[in-house]
Amino acid sequence: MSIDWQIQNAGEQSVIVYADCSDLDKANAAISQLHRQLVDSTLPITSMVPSYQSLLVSYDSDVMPYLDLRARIKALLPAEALEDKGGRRLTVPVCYGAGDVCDLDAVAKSTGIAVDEVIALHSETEYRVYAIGFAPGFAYMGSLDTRLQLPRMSTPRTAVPAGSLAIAESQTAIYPQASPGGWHILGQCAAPVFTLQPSHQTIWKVGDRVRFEPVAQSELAHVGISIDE
Amino acid sequence: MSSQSVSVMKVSQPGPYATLQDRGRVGGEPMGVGSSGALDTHSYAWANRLCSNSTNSACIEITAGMFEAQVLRETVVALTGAHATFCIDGNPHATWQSHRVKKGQVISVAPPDAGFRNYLAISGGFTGPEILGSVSTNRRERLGGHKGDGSVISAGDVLQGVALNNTPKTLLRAPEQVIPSFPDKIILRLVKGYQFDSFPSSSIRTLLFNDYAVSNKSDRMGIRLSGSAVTPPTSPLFSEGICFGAVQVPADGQPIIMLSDRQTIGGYHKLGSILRSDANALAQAKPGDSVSFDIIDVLDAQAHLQLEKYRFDHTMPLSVN
Repeated sequence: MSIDWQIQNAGEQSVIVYADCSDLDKANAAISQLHRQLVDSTLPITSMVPSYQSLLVSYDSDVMPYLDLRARIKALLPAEALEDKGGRRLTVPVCYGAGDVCDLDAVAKSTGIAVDEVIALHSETEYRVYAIGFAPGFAYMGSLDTRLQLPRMSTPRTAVPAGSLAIAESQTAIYPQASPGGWHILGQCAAPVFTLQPSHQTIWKVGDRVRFEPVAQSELAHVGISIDE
Repeated sequence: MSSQSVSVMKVSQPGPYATLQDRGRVGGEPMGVGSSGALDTHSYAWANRLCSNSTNSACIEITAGMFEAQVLRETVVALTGAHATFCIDGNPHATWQSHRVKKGQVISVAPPDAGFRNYLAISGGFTGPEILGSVSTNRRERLGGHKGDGSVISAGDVLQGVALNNTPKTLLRAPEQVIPSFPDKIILRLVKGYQFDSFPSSSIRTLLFNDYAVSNKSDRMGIRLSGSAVTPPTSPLFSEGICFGAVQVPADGQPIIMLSDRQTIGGYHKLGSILRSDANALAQAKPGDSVSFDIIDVLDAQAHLQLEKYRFDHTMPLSVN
């Protein structure tokens, strides 16, 4: 399956690279690959934002103007989709049904699937981190089993607790901090997914593969996230 | 900055929205942390220059004036940005100029006559917990600022600054030609980009031949415009990175210019981005001010940027005493 690359202008000192492919996972893997290549490059890049099938690249035009930068990026683009071996595998412990705010029963009712089956369908799928945004550390992961797909709530909650595991449409996510939100909450994750101090980092990167492991509430505080590089 | 901090100022009135800002954070975008930073980088840079600060020192970005604070130790301050009455102990002092202030003196900034935001620099710069090399405040992301948690400055807050053994001996003023004029009508030069070519040609005509008003729902995340609707394409779009100055058009057709506190990604169609120097002018626009759009080629935009940088580097502040 080939990837159709496009380099579009985005602004005064930004271009956006699109990887068009009928297979979104392939496109996303190609974007992660290009992101890594550009991180290692000597191009005068000031920031990058990988997301789904695009990579926004901001640069210092004083060092390298638009036409040169565009040509240099173009020379890096692979003609064929690379084998998707990049990215890490994360296993995130969650307690389905836990938390003060939880829609597990309501999700079972709306989808017509038993609670145990909802948990099984959600935890047996391996998800890909397509994008990180909305809030620091908020990872958009997909794709959810079609039987679990529900539209966002018509009235978003004003406060969703930190660590809430949630689903909406074809995606799943964990709220890194307490925030307003319109996704359906399935349970809780105890491990922090975004920390400010001291290292300012989030556990996931775009392109990572994530699995959720059901654990009992009593175990939640004792089981950490495991990362397979 | 690893230098020691001391209490430098106690705020009695912050006005509607006062925050610490510097040039913003770098490298947070892949994890969803935006850059933040001063909106009007021209006024911000001059405030630091007049206090002989480093180029990334934190200033207070004051929105719509009504700011008052007591100085807690002798230092040098400068106020740039909007045309506003700047007082020390009730006596008007020049903006775009540095002044020596003594412990106990009260400085105040009135609502601006022209422009919307002021930058208050202090010798050595304000300090706060650094996140990704910056103390810039982002309330939505709950990070940065004088407390580190995205809090805006409130009445009673004591601000910290770099402890200095001596303050600059020479007071400085900005040459007249660098002080912005704050017109009521701004032209935003747009570099075409993103989905520009997917917008119906009638939408582009609407955008280019109409004036838009700055909405009072604007904030540091984005300046919202209201006017003739620019119909966006209906094709679905994956969320993608939003660069500074991007012009995004939601389904209601009212453009939003994305600024320092914008989200890192978003799924609205975008027409491209406006020039940084025009965003500085836009950051000084008051609700109700008028803006219009013009198209500029990216190569011209970059030549213009280079010229602006050259001008800044070669325009020196003048000595006052």
